Amino acid sequence: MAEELRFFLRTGVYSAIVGTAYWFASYEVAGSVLLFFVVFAALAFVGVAAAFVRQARDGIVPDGSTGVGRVLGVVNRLFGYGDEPSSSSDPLAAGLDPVPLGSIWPPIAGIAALLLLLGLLYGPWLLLPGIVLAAGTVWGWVSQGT
Amino acid sequence: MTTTELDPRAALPARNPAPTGIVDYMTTTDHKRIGLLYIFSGLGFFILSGILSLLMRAELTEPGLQFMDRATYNELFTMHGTGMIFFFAAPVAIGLANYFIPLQIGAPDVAFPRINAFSYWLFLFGGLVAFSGFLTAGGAAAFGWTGYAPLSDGTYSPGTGGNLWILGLIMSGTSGILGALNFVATSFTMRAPGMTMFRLPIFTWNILVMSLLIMITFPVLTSALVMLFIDRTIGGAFFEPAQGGSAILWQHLFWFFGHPEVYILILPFFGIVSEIIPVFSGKRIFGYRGFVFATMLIGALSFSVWAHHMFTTGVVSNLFFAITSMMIAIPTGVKFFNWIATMWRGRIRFETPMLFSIGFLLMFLIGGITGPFLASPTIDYAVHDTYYVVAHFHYVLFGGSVFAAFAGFYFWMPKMTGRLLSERLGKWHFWLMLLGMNLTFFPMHQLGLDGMPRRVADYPASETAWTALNVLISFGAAILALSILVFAINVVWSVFLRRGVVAANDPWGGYSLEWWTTSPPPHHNFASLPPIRSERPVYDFRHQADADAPHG
Amino acid sequence: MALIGLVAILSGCTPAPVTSEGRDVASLYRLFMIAAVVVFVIVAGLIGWSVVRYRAGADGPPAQFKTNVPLEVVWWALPTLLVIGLFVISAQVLATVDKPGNGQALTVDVEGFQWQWRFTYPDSGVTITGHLDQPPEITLPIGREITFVIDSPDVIHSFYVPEFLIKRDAVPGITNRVTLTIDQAGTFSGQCAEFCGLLHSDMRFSIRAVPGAEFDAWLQQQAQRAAP
Repeated sequence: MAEELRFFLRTGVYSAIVGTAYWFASYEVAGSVLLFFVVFAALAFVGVAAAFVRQARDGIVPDGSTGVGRVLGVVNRLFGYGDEPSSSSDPLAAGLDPVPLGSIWPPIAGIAALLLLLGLLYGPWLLLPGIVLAAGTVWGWVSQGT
Repeated sequence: MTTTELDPRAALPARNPAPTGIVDYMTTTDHKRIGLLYIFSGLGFFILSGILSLLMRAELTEPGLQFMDRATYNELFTMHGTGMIFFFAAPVAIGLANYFIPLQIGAPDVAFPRINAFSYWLFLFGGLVAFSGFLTAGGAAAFGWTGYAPLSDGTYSPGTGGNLWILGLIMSGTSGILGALNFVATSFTMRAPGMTMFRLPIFTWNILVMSLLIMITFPVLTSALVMLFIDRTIGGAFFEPAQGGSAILWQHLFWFFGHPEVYILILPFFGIVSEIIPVFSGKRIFGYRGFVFATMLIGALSFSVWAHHMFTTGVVSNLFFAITSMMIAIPTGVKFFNWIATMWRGRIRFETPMLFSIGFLLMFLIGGITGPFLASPTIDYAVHDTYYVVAHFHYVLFGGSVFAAFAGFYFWMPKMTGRLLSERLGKWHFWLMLLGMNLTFFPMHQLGLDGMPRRVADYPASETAWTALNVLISFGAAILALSILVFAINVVWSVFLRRGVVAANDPWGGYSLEWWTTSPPPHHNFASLPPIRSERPVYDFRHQADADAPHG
Repeated sequence: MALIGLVAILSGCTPAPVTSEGRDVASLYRLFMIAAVVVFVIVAGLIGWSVVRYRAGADGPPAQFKTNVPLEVVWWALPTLLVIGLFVISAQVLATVDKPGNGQALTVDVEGFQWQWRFTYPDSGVTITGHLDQPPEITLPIGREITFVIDSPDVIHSFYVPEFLIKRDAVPGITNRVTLTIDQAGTFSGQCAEFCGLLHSDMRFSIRAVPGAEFDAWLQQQAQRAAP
């Protein structure tokens, strides 16, 4: 098993042991739930990391590809459809690949989040523009591609 | 940039040529620029929160209220803690990680560059939202950075400031989760060929453990904040005992986040000194695997110690949390031995980064030693919520994190900006900060043992011993402020006015891959990479070249 | 020099305890302090020695040793043993400090509210309520177990008397108990230790500890004053 997976697994195993000990030492609900939440989260990360690690090792996504392409690669891997492009493992290919483009969408997404949250506090006159901006951001972000 | 030349470094421009206007920084997805944005925004919040603490020190120098009323004082210590923890220490760590993780693993950028930029903007807006409470009629949040319920609910702390505090923290928490996912994905999938997990530089390893802690505990904080927001705004009663809620539940949720948060704030800085000490000792880190294992153990243990903050509530299993909390001392102690063994029989150079690292070792040692005191429940009964605790965590977070952060700035500023910071000002900065720190925080131990509680705007004049110690502490705080001023002058003079010595690729004789490329690196980071056969490829390459050179 | 200063300042340690439980805590603190000074001297000494002895000189590059397993085993083992020892002693002291009363204890109800304290002697119906401009002073007997029953009607407060070396939170919805025996006469000031809002720093009170007979007389006098 790759170190990447053991990294999460160790935390999960530790929390399972400690969570069990804690439950029987205290019968306290909140802490026990939280410790078993750690077990759950760690195991979930093991699953996701397994997908990423296999993808990187098998070269399913070309080195240096980023963002949505990378996620789609993982989706392909997990659900098993789509092409599996080949890649080179030449270090320079990674280094000389096109660098990520600049994008106006991250700060706009930040403003949208700001409007949405402040809208919860100050009312619909902020919430509504926030929703519009958030929708626009999703559209802009996805359609920009990498 | 699709051609590959024989010596690709020759094709690189000597300096990052692009002029950098505000629009470039607004729209950037370059991990290096995002890193700089994080670092300098974090430093902005450091200065802001530091000014708040100076105002508190002015008020506490003498008994009685001289400069402000109690309400203002309560806002000051709340926002000082919030600012330092959520908007300075963590963002600076994330900023340095942003800049150096791709460089250390030989990658062109992080895995999700636009999400990376988004997480910066979330953090910045979150900080501005939390601090904007000062501009509202009721003032900023005034229930302490721990926001204990039911004090923090709508009944006892009405006003917009508290709600803005919650929203700001939700934004910064989300930003942290996105950043952590990015670091994990980057260091798992974008390592250069040859860079195995156990050849990762220690800094990258520590950021990985930090990211794991963030990914697991920040959602807990965010949930608790959402519950508190519901209590405050639409009449929920999660934490309101009068209506069937539980005041203790908040503390469980908060500290389940809050204690790992302490390690989130210290592990990256352990990582920084673990990069600096080997380089300036001329040796490799001693016991690499043991060191990494100790880091992971601290991470795992941190999930099981939260209720040592709740010993005096009378409703938690004090024995259980005493043993788990004391166990933290074991891997932390091991790290000290690793650092010392790394210096042992080395050839130590005392440039500013190393001075701050040694300062870190000594100051963090004191903060670390007072930890087991507080993990012993009956000692905690005596000193909990007094200045003793304030002294303890400032030795950990100021003596630890802040010293190491400055070590990192002096170490990496030449890589990030192409200019070395002035050594002369750096040494002034170090000695002033060491003096100021000890004058400020050491007397707090005694003040706490004498019974002065934390978070009080005023104390009786009849406690003459308290007054004497408070005068000393405020004097120390002034020296600390002076030392930070020296640093600010150093950055402006060396970097912004470009008076610092121009940095070569590798001004310190560094080990990890960031020292292979130019200072500052080009947009795509590397045009070539050395073979990676250990955790310090640049060192290996340099010494291979020496060995290959013809003799005599 | 700095080291001697450190030891001197820190061994000033806790306020002189005035309860039998407080004495145990003070001894525990001293024990931790001794361990702390030993650890500090060793670790800081090693750091100092490295810094002084191994500064870069003219001699050649240092040996690039990687690790030393026996050494690592030793330095995992040493702190582990120390921690186990400190934990065992801490657990013993915790058992004495958190012990339930012997059934003969004088009960005093302590209610922390925003922003003062109310002390009630339920057996005699005496109540002393503090006001902001006039902090309460209560009288307690020495040489007799006292159980404080602590709660709060609003937010969390914390009942804290530095000379007792103890504090316990007053949590709304939860009733906490602290049992202790004062063994020294005197007047001791206390105050709220858990931040509880605007006037937190004004939640002060004082405790006058007197011999049993004097206490009984005081209590009777208070009860009479309250009765008519």
